[in-house]
Amino acid sequence: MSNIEDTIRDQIAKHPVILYMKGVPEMPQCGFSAKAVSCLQSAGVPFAYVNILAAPSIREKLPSISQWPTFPQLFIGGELVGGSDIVSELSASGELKTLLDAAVAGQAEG
Amino acid sequence: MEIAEVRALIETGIPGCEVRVEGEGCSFSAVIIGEAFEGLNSVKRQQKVLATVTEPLSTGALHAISMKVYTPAEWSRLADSA
Repeated sequence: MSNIEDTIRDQIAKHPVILYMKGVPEMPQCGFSAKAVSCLQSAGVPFAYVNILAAPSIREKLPSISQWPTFPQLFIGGELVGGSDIVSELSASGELKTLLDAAVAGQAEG
Repeated sequence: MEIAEVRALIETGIPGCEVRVEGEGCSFSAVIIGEAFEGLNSVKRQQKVLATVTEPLSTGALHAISMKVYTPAEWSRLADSA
């Protein structure tokens, strides 16, 4: 796909849970990304990810689409949930697991 | 960047809010309290704050800002329970 914005919108639409992060889940390249990954892993729900360090055009374009200037960025069910602070808060309160389960269940039905 | 610069950007961008910033260099943590956040969820609140510091974030002068955002009512409840 030639248009980077279409590529990003497609990724967000296709994956019920997708994390735009620095590095990969096995080796995050930033503490904030590591924190988000560990919250997702402890919820035990599979998630897609994009390493924005390996995709400079996505790194450049996504902030203007999401209105969020930093990484990581977590999308659940096509919606921006937030960065590592919000993901941590939701994880601590148990809401993250609820959101993830709902998104994955929605995907299975759809 | 200096703490005072970050605080000034946020205060200018969101009139009437109270900002407490900690940190140094290019990474900060902030607590922001304001009426402007009434009725907004966490993402919308942080987007509002982030919008005031997009310039230093885009140049790299500011690498990251970690934040907690409260309305005055939420903040006073926190203070009461502490």
